[in-house]
Order: sequence, then C-alpha cells, then structure tokens
Amino acid sequence: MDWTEILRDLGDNRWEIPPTYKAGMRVPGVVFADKALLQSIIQDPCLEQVANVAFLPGIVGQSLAMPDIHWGYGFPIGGVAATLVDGEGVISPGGVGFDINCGVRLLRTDLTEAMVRPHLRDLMATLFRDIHTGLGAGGRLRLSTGEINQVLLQGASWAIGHGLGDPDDLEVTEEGGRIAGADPEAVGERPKTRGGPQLGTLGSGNHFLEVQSVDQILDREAARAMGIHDVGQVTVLIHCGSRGLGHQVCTDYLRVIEPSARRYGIELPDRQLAAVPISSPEGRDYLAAMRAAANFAWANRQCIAHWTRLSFEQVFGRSWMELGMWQVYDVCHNIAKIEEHTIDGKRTRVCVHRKGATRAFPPGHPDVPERYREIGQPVLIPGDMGRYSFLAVGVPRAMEVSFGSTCHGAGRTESRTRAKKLLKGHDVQKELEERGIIAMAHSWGSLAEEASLAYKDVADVMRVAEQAGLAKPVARLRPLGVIKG
Amino acid sequence: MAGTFALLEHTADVGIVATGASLEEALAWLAKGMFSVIANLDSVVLKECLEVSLISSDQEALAVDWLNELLYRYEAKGFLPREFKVTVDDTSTGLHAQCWGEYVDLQRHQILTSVKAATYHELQLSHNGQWRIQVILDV
Repeated sequence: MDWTEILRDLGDNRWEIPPTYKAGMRVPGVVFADKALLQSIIQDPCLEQVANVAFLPGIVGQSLAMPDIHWGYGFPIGGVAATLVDGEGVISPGGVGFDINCGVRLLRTDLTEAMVRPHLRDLMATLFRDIHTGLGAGGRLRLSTGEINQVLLQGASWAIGHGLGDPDDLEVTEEGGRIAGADPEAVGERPKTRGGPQLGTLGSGNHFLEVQSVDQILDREAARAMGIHDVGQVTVLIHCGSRGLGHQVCTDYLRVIEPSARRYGIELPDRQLAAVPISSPEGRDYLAAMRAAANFAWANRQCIAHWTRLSFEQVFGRSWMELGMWQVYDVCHNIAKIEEHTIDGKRTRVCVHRKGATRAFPPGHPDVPERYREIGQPVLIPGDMGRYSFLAVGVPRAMEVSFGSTCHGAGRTESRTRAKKLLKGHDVQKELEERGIIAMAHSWGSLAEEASLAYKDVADVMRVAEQAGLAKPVARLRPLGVIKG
Repeated sequence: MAGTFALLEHTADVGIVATGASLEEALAWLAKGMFSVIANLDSVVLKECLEVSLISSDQEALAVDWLNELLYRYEAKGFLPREFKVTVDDTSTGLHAQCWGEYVDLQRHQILTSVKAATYHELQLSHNGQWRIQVILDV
C-alpha cells in the first residue's frame, strides 16, 4: 500500500484520503500531519482504519485523524468522527474505546521544583503507597451495588459529596465531571462486579500519576488564567480511565451491537467497527451505559486527585489549599458526545466520537468554564514519562476543521514486547533517575513498556496540532517523578 | 493435547495465535495463551474446575466471546485457569468447557499484565489441516 500515492495534500498540514479510495466510503478521510509525522503514520495500519470509519452511516464532514494517530480497535486511536443524531446516524463503541473516558486531570500548586526536590523521593513513595496502582490492586473504597449506581449517575460529584475533593473541582472538569443521560441499568451487572472494586485506582499500562515542573511558558496570559505563573512551578498530572467497569461495558455492548449491526443492514469492513443507529434501542442503551462508565472515570480521577492532595499535605506539612493545589482542568479523550456543530452553514446535532482525541473548544464557547472563556478550553496532552507533556487551549479553527477536537498525547511507535526487548538489560528506573526523574512502578516491565523509545515525541504532535489550527500550546511540563502500575 | 500457542507482537498490544488438531483444541490453547499473558502459570495449581458455556453469533465471535468470558471470570472473581477441555456444538457457535486452575493468591501468583478485552481486530480463524485462531488482546 503506497499511501504517498493516495493521499492528497490539502495544505495546512492536512492530507485527504479521497472517498474513491475504497468503495463504501461516504466521506473523505483527513489526516492532520506534517511530512515528517506522515512518514511514521504510513508505517502503521491506521490509515486503512481512517478510511473504514468513513463507512459509518450518517457520518458528516470527514473521518478525521489527529496528529498522534495510530491503529486501534475499529477506530484508530486519534480518530474523530461525527454522525447525525437525527436520521441514520450511528454510534460505534469502537469510536469510544474499551477504556471509556480515559482522560487526564491537571492540578497546579504554589510549590517550586527547588522546594520539592529535597522531598521528592519521600513524596513519590507516599504517592506510590496512597494511590493504588498495579496489577491485582484493590481500591481503598468498598462500595455496595447501590453506591456504585450512585457513582454511575453522579460521577465526580459523588466523590465530592463524600468529602473526596472540593466543589470547585467540578467547575473545571469537562461536563462538570458528570454527564447527563447515564443509566446504571444499561450498565448491567458484570461491569459493576468487575470494576466496582477498582474505584480509586490508577490501573496499569500507560496510566500514570506524574509530579511535574513547568519547563516552558509559551502563552503567558493563558497560563496565568490557569494558575500557571512561573517556570519551575510544580504541577501534577493524572492519567487514567474507567478501569474494568468501562472495559466490560464496551465488551458487553460489542457482543450485542456486532450482530445487531447486520440486522440493521449496516455493512462495515471491520467487525470491531460495529455500530447501530443512535436512535435504536441498542444505540440508546449503549449511550446511557457509556455515560455511566464515563461518570465512573470522573469519580475515579476525583478520588485519586483528592488522595494526591492528602499525600502532599503529609509530606509538606500544610493543607492542600495552603499549597495552592487547585485543579486546572480535566478532559476525557475516549468518549462519544452529542454536540451542536455548524455543518454547511446549519447548526446540527451530531454524535462526536473522540477516540484518543480531546475536545478543544475555543474562547467564547458556552461550554468552556467562565474563568477560561476568554482564553479557550484547557487541553491536556501527556507525552511519555521521559520527556514532557503539554498544556494547551482550544482555538476557533478547530471548530471548522475537527468538530472542536485535537490530539490526546504522544502515540506509540513500538509494541510493548518490542520495547521490552530493546531495553533488555537496561535499568530503566536508574536511567530515568540519572536524568532527574524518580519513577516508581510495580515491575520493570511496566517501566520498559512505557519508555520514551516506544513513543512519538509529543512536541512534534503539538507543533503539528498548532499549525493545523487544532490547539495552541500554553506551557510545557517536565516530569520530576512518576508512579505507574 | 496437540497444538500450541504463540504470542504476536503488535504496537500497543498483544496477539495470540493458537493451533490445534481440532477447533476445540485450538480454543483450549487460545485460552492458555491469554492466561499466559495475564500471569505466570507455573505456580497455578489445578485445585478447582469451573464450567463455562456460551453461544455466539458465529465461529469467529465464539473465539472472542470465549476469551472474554474467561477474562470476566478472572477479573471479577479471580479465577485463574491453566488447563481447558472444550466441547463445541454442532453449529460451532456454542461451546461448553471445563477449566482447571485456582483462585488468585497474590502471595503465590505473579500477575504479569492486565487485559482489557479480547477484540475482533485482525481476528482470524481457519482450518487447513489443523485449526488456527488469531486474536488480538487489548492490554
């Protein structure tokens, strides 16, 4: 497959897969990348998936691929697709992912790197102890089914109601940390049994909690609005999702939706892309269950953020409020949301699937919290644990070209197996420490799999996103310490 | 039990290729492959037997649903099996199995990876002399 022959250069870091590429494509595919990033993208089977997504009934605009695109299940990771809510538009669980509402939360502090360094090992050890992570880890909470149902309905506000955070946190969380239309009944029993005990845990794989130092400020005004004032300021980034509850919701619904798709006459080139009309009983049930799982993830990040604050209190001997540990923002990057967008000059309700992609609304948008309305919605873009992450804001052009969406992170380039092979004999933890980063994980494997060599450089992804008008970088954040499963 | 499994490299995730003289043997090796990704099976004692039955929409889906059923039993209840005897029905869309292993004991068992799900991605099931099944796991 020679993609260089097929892709059309649209300019502005946009490449089109023409709808003539594959019979059945209803719209073109569009990939946001520069020539350099495109070289690695065409090595990966993701472009075929971008073309496959274009088959979805009711899809509008284009099948979009963010700059950090790589292959996934059905949808590629970094895939965005909007389908009409009225009419034949479908919803596809593959367009959300197994880890429903995997997302990122950023806390700021008044601490500086100089203040934290002497206590860093102690801080990371305390966090590693207090935030349950790793394989087989149970949570700190014991919830009844009734309580789990409350979490599924209330999301982050459930945690606030139980003293696990501050009401202000909800103001700076996407959807207020609680999306309407969740239904615990639609979730069913299996996800609650599997994932219920995991509330308040980080998980494993690419999930992490990172203590960071602001490395560069690129937009002083926007940074200030978000409480980021100086280089050397310490922040905390939390990356995790809905744990086994979300995974099971996706598995359970794929099992139903996959054969149902055929009954609705929906023919797709990939079984994992299975979809049903949004208005169908299966579609409505999935949406309600997905929303419930999303709420579970917000409650999860809320609990973890709260315990993170308590860990800092323990180490620094001051309350988290005195330490200024307020939340900057919380975004999801695996979700399907009903939004209104302007399509062909008309305000239209669409179901926007963002799979490994982040909402990035511009200044003035009513869904952006008031305190950020002048600067735009904060966007959190984690990189790998050896390099850096970015804080960015939404910009108006994204509403025109990507349904207000942008990238979500670095994107893998090497498999877990290969990363471990390449790093055999390396003491990954020691190598990170030599670079000033204290990493704590439950196994060597878990660090090796997540090493920098397994990922794209998020700076490249951010640069392309900025050039394409998908988001504007505000600050670069460098890791000081990281805990992983 | 004739047959085998092997692990495939795949960016971000893990694949299993299982073979067997019969579909049933291939499914048994497939399950063993998945659990070898999840845990070090050497220390798993064959203490208990769990029975599993399921029906799927077709043969390929059966392979995926089989793994997801076992995954659920492990994730939700902690049951860690390493030996399997599978019987497939006439239509090859349903199966009944006996799974031998024990409940997880973190003192004795080394857990290696957390699996989110078995997927339909690049799902392959073929019969050419021997049976071959390929399933990609989301980890």
